[in-house]
Amino acid sequence: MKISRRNFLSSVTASTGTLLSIRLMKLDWFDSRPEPELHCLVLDLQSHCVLRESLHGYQAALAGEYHCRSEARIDSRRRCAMALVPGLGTLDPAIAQTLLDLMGGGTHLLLESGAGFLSPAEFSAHQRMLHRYFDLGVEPPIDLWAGNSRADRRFDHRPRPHQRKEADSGKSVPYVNYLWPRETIVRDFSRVVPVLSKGEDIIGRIGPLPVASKKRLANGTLIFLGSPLGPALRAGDLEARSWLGSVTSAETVADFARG
Amino acid sequence: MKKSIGDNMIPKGWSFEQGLELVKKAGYDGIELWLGHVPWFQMSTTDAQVSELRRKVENAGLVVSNVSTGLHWDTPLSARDPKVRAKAIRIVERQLETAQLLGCDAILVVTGLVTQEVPYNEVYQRCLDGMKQLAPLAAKAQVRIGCENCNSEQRFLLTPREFWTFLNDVNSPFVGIHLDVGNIHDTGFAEQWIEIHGPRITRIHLKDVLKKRGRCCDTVYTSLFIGDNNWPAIRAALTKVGYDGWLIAEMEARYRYAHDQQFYDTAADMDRLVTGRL
Repeated sequence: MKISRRNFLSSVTASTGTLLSIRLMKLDWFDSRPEPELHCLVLDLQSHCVLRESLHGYQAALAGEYHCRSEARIDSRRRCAMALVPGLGTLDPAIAQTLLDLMGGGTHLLLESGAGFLSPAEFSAHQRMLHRYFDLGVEPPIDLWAGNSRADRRFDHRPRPHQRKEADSGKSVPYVNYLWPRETIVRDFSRVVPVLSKGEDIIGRIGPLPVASKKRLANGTLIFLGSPLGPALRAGDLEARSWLGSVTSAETVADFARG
Repeated sequence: MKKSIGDNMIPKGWSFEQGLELVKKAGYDGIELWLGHVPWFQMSTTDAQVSELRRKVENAGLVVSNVSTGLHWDTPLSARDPKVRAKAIRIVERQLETAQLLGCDAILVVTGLVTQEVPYNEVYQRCLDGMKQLAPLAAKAQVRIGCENCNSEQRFLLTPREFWTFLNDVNSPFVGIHLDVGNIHDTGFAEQWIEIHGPRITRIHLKDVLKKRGRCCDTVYTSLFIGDNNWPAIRAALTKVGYDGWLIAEMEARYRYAHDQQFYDTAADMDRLVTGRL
């Protein structure tokens, strides 16, 4: 087939223009898409995080598979599958509302209470806040080692034989038994915040004591831990890390979405 | 090597000045001050009062060898309660401050306590965090933190290589080991700890120990040369690593009578060790 130089050039120009238009359209389309969803967000609530080691534990356990935001940088408009709040003390209303907004957008929220070592007044504020914003009832912390650890901890510079006898008295470790998303046993953290939830919402117990729960709230799921997991994560506890891996896995998050 | 003894050995009811006079008379070069264990040196003791202690020490012809404390047995750096840990950090900070005021360059810290309640891995991580936080302060003060090996009581850093790894993880020339040759019990040999840690040894606590536990009703610790430590081997190891610093008597077992005599007897034992007449 014979083709004139003029026809050839005009065809090429037209084709290039069409291709360029398609490319630009695609770019426009990419640009107009919402920001990609974050899978896992660890929230550093600064002064409201009363167990800093817990925050570091979640960061270490999740390695590169999370984004960390400080309280000033939480954006409830940004889609996020799961948000983790380690070592929670008290919250101001604005942050609580932001967390609720995140849940309204479909984010599943893991709240880890760090209230076990708070003063009674601070704990009351923690308790009120959980009830008011998350409709969650909790009881004052229980010292799981009361009467046993004191003798173990209070050495008079050097332990006397009778002290050591008390310290090694053979009382069992009060492990947390998680029932969901998989059965896992993790060390206690000395003081636990018992949760008041319906039987089917309980996901972790120490003996008969319910210390972890999950329930639907807004458009997400609220997971509450009354016994901090972060310190065990920081210490490299294999079971704790495995349990967190299950909670944050894509399968579990998909299960949440199915209700 | 220079000889020192703790002010917590000063018999109850004696004044600081009386104690200093005894320490000097017994032949020591210095005194170890125990923060929180004696009425004259508490957390509440002001800077001016600490400076006054230094003046008294120097007037007695002595120097302060180091600042120690046992407060961390009750308030450990490894506690789960963050408020307790903050207090523990403050104690070390005060040790560093007072060491500067007292003109010495080493402090003793009981690093962490493993208990049934607070497990080993948590203790390790918190102690590491604590020491990393404190190391820059120690560097600024030019005072070395000596983490004491309280092997059996702490149930922490039980072997010399484990201790070595911990110090490597801290990674500061201002954090070393305050080696107590009486604390190793039957878990090893003091001379090997000396060889392994060499230049990282900030100070040495001396006492003897009975390895066959239960033979003694109150304590396994005893006076120098009547326990199971291999003193010729310890002396040889000190020479091998070139340790020429302070030796500090820490007699856990106290004389029931003639309390002052223990100062003289221990000083004489230490002289025998230093001169190698064993």
